[in-house]
Amino acid sequence: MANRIELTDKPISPEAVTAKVLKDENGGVVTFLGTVRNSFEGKPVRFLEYEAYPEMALKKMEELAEEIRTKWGIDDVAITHRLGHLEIGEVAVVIAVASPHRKEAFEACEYAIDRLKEIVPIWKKEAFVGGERWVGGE
Amino acid sequence: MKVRLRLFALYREQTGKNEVICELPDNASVTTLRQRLEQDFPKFKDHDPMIAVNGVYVPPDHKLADGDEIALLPPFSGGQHGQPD
Repeated sequence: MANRIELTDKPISPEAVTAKVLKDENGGVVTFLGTVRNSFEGKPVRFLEYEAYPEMALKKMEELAEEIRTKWGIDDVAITHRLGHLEIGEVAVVIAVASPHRKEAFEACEYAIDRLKEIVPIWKKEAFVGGERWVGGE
Repeated sequence: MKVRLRLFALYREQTGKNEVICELPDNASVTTLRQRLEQDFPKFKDHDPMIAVNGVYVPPDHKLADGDEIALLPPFSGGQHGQPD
């Protein structure tokens, strides 16, 4: 089976991430894409840089999949997060969750992106006209 | 004891280092390490990082052991500030 938890510095294929959770037992598949928005707090953004503490980020993403297993009984979760330089509109993160019924898949997928932002050590720096700053930094 | 400190994102840029090997007294805690860092980089006094030792979140009074890998983690990109996507 393809590795379901990944960090990559290459463009992410949402279809490829989704394909990892497709199974005949599953009738509901929810895939969330986080993309690079062209503004932050009203300021135009030029591009973003993502940086991770990679060993720990992977470990926390695995823990997140485990939390979903415990809370919803869902085994099929795939998460890929992009690192490095991203242009506006590019896909920064893909989370795919599949379960026999859609309700649990929707809930678990929303939980996954909220939780990812709380516990997974990944940072983003936004470059805007005239400067740059780490989001959440100061 | 000898420990390895890793720095990321804002902290990496402010210190110009992504990794520092520190020699600390026995029974040193994370706080000891931070005080050491603040001597070299006074800007660190303004920060309130999350702390991970060997990949596990710990409180500031956590006792260190020889060979530990400590990471001081700036606020994450989305978490505390609740930026909606």
